[in-house]
Amino acid sequence: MILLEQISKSYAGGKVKAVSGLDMRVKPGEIFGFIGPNGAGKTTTIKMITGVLRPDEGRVVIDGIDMGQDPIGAKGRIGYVPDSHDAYDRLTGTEYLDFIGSVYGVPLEERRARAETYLNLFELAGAAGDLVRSYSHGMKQKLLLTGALLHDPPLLLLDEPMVGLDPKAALLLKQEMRARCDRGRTVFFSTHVLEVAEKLCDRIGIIYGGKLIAVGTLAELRSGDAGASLEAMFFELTERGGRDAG
Amino acid sequence: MKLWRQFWLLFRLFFRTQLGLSVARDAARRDKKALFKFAGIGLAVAVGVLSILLTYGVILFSLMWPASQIGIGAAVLALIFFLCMGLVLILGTVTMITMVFGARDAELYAALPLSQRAVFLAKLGMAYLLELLPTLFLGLPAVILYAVYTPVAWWYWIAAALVLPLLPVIPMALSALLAALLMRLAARFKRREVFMVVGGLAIAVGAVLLQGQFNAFFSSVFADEAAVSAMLQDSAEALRAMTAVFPPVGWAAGALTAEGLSWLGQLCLFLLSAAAAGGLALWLGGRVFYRGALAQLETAPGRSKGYNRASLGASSPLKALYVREWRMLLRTGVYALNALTGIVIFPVMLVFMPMMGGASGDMSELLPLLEGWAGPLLPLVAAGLMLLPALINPAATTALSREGRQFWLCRSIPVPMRTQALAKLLCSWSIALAGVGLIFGAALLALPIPAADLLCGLPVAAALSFPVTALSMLPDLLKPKLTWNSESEAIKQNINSLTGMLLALAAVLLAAGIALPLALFLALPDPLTALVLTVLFAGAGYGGWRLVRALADGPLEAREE
Repeated sequence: MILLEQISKSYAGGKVKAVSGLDMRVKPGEIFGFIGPNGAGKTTTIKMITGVLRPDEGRVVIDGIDMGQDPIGAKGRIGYVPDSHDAYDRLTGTEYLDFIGSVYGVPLEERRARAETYLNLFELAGAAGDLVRSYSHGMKQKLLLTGALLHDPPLLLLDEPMVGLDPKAALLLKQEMRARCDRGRTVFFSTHVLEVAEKLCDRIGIIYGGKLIAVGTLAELRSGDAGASLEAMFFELTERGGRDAG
Repeated sequence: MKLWRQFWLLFRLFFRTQLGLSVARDAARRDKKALFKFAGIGLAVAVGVLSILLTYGVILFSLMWPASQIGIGAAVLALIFFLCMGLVLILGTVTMITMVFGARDAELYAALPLSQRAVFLAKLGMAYLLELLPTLFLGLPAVILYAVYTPVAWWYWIAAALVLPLLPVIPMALSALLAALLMRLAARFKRREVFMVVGGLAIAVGAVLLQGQFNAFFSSVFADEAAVSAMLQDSAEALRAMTAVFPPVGWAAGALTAEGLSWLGQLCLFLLSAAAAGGLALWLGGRVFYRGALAQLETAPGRSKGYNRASLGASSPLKALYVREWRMLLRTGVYALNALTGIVIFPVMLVFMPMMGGASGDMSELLPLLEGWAGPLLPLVAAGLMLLPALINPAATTALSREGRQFWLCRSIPVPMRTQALAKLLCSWSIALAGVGLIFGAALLALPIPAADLLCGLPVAAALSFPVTALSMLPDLLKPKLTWNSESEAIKQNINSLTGMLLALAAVLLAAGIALPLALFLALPDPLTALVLTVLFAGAGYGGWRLVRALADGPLEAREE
């Protein structure tokens, strides 16, 4: 579903290397957790996958479509929720969903059915007619999630999706993620909450200093140490990564 | 913390942020080239200000010198003070509304252990400093020139040192009261954006009408030969006329120029009125500032609406983008105000100015002259008038900058940038077209231009408004300002607004340069000339769209954040 081949990205005219030579493959039907400390390159990688940023080198392929060759085709297969929660503040929730439905070309009946499903699921239907600017942080997150799910994308890309969500909404989102993967859809998300990654993900990638330092199932990451928690492994791997870099 | 310490702390903060000193210092620290950029901008501003000051000095000299010779220098000084206070009233109202009514930082300061009086005082202090600059710019040369050409007593300089810095106080107090009133209303009805748009348009229309009233007033004064003669012979008569319009102007000028001991009385009157006005503004602002500013963050009561199935409707991406563009524009107060002012102001000016002794006289004298000179000239003049709003179209010149932090959506949706740019172009063009239509209606109603000529000018203006809009969008598509903290910054403090308008002006001048000789050369009946020009400008419109498309496909597709 996602193929990243040697992608790199620098900022400040090449002075800051955010992501360096990243190779990764995510299969259909997988929940893939992307973890790493602050400034490790998680958001930059996600933005390159969505086409918001262009890699300096390498290529991104989504569902067999090269993002560099056919960005519109590739973007049409992604539902994306950024970590910033910036939506159009002066639209109502319904207008935002209608806009997203139109730009993704979702047929009217499907649009209505999915909007109702997710607005009810996230208990947002009561506020759907209000301006987004009146929403709380969590409500904006729920609206962006509903928008990202509106076209039933083969790939759902979420940057820190649990931030701002109340416990019930977080649980519902986790259930939805699992249900999607059971239907052969793919979910790729970044998180700081290692417990969520540990319980939810089929595979996990750990990024540090712009490089993928580990990737695999939880069992593969544990390798010899069967009892190790993801938290312990994360600290060990990132500290080792820091020493190697130093 | 004591009130004055809090005030000083906040004032220094506002000073650094408002004047962009922190940004400049940070940019210079990160990149040495930025230092040269800021130095260059500073130098350009200084040269510009000096050249204006020089021009103003020459005008003032040519006014003050003969006035002093016939003994009416005091009247000229009073006139300059009148201008200072009028300017501060207009500029100060905009500043106060932006800094107090439009304050986005009230929530931040309300959470800090600072008294609201100190916050309001610091904001007022910053606004005062901003208004003091134009006051000194206009007033100081007049005070100096008066003293050069008229013998003055020792107390003249003392009175000047007291009066000049206090000139902005009374008009600023009026501005603060207006801002407080707006906040009170907005807090009561929770419709901040609506108040901002309607209030802003009302102020703009009011300013035009006020100018018309002044024109009419001065026309009537100068029509009265006896009154003019009295004013030319005696400064006191001129001062009395101005004091009748706005008493503090007479007191301020009298404090510097009155004879005997009466200067002291005039000075006291001026100082007392300034203290009373300033005190009232401080007292009121210190009481209602937080209540008004924080109430604006609340949403309107009883408006909460649930999901409505019927409000979801299928449309094409282009239509969805176009509708979204309009919604964002109309629902954001500062955007709506800036985008709509042009299409409201120009028709209002056309309709009301003639009634107040403004442009109609000149126009009615000019029209027969134009008619006699060349046949197709009048439709072209009409088309030029209809194009005025297209020249000042912030909806076009900041089309992409307004996306700001939401630009990630433009990048992530499966819609080509050229389609997104087209939606923005069509939205901006709609505003220009509305301007064409409204000015057509206003001209039909108020100007002595034959309807047939206006009708011939209409399609020409409509066709030309498209390439003009497209050209004015280009700077913003090439280099949008996507990083901003307030919407006002996106649409007003954006250099693309200026460059876009200059491009639009250049386009209209170029079009006029082509259309006029072509029309004279063709020597066809007016409707046929209009048809030829409409087709020509429609072709130019296609060229304009190609340019927009080229930028959308190139730099815009490559732009990240």
